[in-house]
Amino acid sequence: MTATLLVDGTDNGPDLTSVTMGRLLAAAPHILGDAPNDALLARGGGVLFETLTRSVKAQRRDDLVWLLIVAVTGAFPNAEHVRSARRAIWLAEPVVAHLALLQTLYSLGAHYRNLDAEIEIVTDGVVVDVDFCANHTANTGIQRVVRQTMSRWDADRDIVPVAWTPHGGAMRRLSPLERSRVVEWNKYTEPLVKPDASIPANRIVVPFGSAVILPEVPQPHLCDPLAALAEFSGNRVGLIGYDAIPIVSADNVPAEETERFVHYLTIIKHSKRVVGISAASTEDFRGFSDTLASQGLAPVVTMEVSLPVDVPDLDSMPPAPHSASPLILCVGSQEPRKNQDAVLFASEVLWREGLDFRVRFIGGGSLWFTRGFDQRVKALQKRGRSVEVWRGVKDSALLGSYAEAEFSIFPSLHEGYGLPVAESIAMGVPVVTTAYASTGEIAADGGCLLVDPRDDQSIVNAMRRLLTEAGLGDELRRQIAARPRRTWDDYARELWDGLVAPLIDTPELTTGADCG
Amino acid sequence: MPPIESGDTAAVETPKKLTVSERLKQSEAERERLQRELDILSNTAFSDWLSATQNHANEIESFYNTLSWRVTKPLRVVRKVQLKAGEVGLARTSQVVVAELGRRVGRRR
Amino acid sequence: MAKQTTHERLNLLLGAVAPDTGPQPSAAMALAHLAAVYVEPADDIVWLALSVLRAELPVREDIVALRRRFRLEDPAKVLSGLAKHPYRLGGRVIRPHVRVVSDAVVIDVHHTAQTGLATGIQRVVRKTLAEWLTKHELMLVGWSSSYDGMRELSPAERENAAYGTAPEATAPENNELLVPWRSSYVLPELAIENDRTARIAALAEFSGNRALLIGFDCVPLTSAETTGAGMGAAFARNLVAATYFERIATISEAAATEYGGWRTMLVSAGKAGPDVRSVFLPADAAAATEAQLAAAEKYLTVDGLPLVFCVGSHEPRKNHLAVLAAAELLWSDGDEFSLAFVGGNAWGSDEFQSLLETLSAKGRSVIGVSKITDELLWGGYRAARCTIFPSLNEGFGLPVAESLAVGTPVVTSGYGSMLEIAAAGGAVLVDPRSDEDIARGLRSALFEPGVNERLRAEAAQRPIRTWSDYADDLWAYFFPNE
Repeated sequence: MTATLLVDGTDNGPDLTSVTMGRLLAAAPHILGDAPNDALLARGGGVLFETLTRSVKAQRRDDLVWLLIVAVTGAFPNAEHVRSARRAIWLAEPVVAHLALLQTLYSLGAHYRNLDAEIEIVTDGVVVDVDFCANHTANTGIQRVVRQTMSRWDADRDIVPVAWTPHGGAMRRLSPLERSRVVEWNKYTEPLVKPDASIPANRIVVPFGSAVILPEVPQPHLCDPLAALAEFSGNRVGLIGYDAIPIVSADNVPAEETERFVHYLTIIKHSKRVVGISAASTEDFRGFSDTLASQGLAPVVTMEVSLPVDVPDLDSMPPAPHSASPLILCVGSQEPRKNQDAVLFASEVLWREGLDFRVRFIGGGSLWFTRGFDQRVKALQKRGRSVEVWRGVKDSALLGSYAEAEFSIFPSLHEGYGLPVAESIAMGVPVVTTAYASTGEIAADGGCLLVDPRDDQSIVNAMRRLLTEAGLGDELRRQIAARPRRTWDDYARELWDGLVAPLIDTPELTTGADCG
Repeated sequence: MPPIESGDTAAVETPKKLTVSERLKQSEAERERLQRELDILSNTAFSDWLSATQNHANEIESFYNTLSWRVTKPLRVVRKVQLKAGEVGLARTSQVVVAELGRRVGRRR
Repeated sequence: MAKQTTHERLNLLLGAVAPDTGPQPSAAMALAHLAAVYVEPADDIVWLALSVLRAELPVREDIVALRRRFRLEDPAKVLSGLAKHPYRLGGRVIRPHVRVVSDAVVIDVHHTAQTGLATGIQRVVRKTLAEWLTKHELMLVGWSSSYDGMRELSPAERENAAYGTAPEATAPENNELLVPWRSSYVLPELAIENDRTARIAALAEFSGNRALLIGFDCVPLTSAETTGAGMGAAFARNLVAATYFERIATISEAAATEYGGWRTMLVSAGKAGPDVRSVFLPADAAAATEAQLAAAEKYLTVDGLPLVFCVGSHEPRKNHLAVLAAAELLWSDGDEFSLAFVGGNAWGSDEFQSLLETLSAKGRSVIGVSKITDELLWGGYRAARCTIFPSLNEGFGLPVAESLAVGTPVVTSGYGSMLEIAAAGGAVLVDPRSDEDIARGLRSALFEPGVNERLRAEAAQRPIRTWSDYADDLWAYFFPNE
């Protein structure tokens, strides 16, 4: 339904008032305890709103304030909106509290223009925010995790996947195309021409007394409303925790990314649970949770459900390569944190020792780094070194490279997980990688040689071993085949048990936070 | 109060003596009348608020569509570049900008 | 000052890395000796070579790249290339005069030396410095305007750093690069310039100098909603530098908790992080004469009503909106008192200003004062019936400690550093996220029979901790072997 926007400002027509009244009606049972009777409804929308405000004022519950704001404005408020509204209600005389409230909600309502929206309140449900995956076709680390998980949860769990209305006003259900992007990634094709009605009718979805799951890292403009939802709405918020790279390695990321991340942390500090994708990333969020006592906040429960590593079947394991000049593969985005320059240096040391091998980097990066990196590669090539950089490669080229590779190398300085390591193992190719944190965890099940990425000699030694030590490569390949099997089915199930189930079975069903 | 004599219909209002239940009914009616006034007030305020909020929103939208906002877009892009330059240094910024432009031009050819 | 030659810089470097070899009569001979030292060199002398020969402090990438060059190329060639390398591309090449300082205690007070500000951080730095200068040999430094190197402070800057009495102080005329070697580097203030924190990080990680930090709080990380744009990124880079420090002395246990949580996060990047320990701040109790007391009362109170005094800027974290709301709850109930805010407008204080004006217009006894003299401040502390400080997140909370130090009860938050200060008595604790709980606490401190008197008695019993105590404890933590 498109909004009927009238310019003269005096007559909304029945639509706007009655639609708003419809939203208030949906919220009313949660506030009043019962559906309002016909006599009350007959007295008009303003009276209904006044009644609800009085009831919220009398009950002094933050979650009801939040719900009332959403119901009347059709938009999710920020923490500032909630506090202003709460103060207005608490401080005003009961008879005019609703007017004071309307005054504070003006800017929120005007900003999002959602006053003509219908409402769907989801109680005792599981609402999953997949806004980015619904709207984008990129498929890097986070999106892969979300799509693998959601396709399975959508099949066997009762969930409500949501995205956000334009400009981030409120949650809403997904269109068919968006749904495909999230739960049918492997099976659907992105249409060349987007269907017209790609966004469903203007209806917002409002979780209340539910679990709200954030499996992505929300975009910057969604952090404020999500933080307010976590703090005030009474819903129990749970997240997948990927990493804290923008803090711990802030010198290796653009300032914008760090800004975005600290903003994201404002959601986490009011959330109930974070499930990390590795033991190391779980520790990241436990560390953050440990700081919260200093500001009088309860800790956030953290636990680990690590991502699965595919393991090739013994039968389908690729045969060991027989290249005269062994190929060393270095896959991944090119940036200082991934430490590709250390690979260049170690390679040069070994070439000078007389060893014969080729190095292939596959992946792209930001011009800030790749410009200098490409220059360094060119300088080596000029001296006759067998090093090349492939960018924008098709899957077939990547697979072919894995088939040809003696081993791959990934001495990253800081990872939340380390997908290139898992990928190499899945291809049956041994990998040299960082000994500590998440890559060390992946390596524990076999198939890897570990290094200290800040110690050039450590990398040189590991590469030399795999190039010269007879039988080592075969041994690592044997280890890979013997790794325990864990699938995305396992991950999706364990994630549900660890992240969602505790948020729906929680005994301390919310009565709203302390009010003031 | 003395009872009203019939015929005593002067301008001065003399209250009629009411029974308790009649007085109660009168208060009820008065209360309902006042409540209806409050209701009208609430409904009007509510409706006015919806109207003002939605129409103010229209004003914001039409501003974004005005010439002046579109004209300032190049200026805002320049500001973004300035911020980037501040972060990584001017020399590097211009190198990268040149390289990036080169790439884009190359692609178009 | 005569321009420093390449020969001189090579000898300077040689003198630091091979002190037994004397200065050499020619650059070539100095190079030859150095080449012998720089065979697969350790990180600290790589850092030193870059600092001395290029006349600027290096960042991490410079050191890692040079370390690798030493392995692949002839050290002599690498060093002579460095020595000749101009340190600024294009334009006039002005190299500062390099000075290596060994076995010193270097204190980085760049910002404090140049500011007239007297907020919490500057007060801690100045009080500490003033104490330390009476007892220890210190080298006070600031940074060049482009933040590529450190230099000793001018006399005026030195005075301003320690006493705040020369806010117009400027850098010295000479163009100098001060390179600490086998020394201790103390950062007692907050550094947020990216070029500066990158070089501090490299110094801490590679140079072999001991690096020591005063940790105030991690608010830009833990309460990002209360800080302005840009602060998060700048502070995170400050933390990256702190990663390689040896010790962080936090100003409270609550701040230690925040830094401790951050340190846990370092494990995922394979870093151990510094030792973190709380060295609790003290509080002044400046005296006030009868006249000053009377002046404060006259200026700050209305109609002889009891005074509630609230010190601090109006940024959202200080929660002054809640103070106004709580006060209004009491006023509308018929309670009578004056409320005086002392502190400037800050980022995000529009809503506060607006509510202040509304309540003022309503006839409430409330004023906001942005500039105040020390006398008026301390007079206000003493004239008040109680002070109020329900901040949402603090590293310490000087106004709480100061109020209690002069014997005036305080209404403050019941957690974090404020709880730590309040533990010794004299405070009413509240939940700062609840306007009503703040109102409850305020009413109790003002009007509940016996409460104000009991709190004053408690405050009078509090142990005294002076800035001298603090400075000594801090030195002992930073320099345990002395």
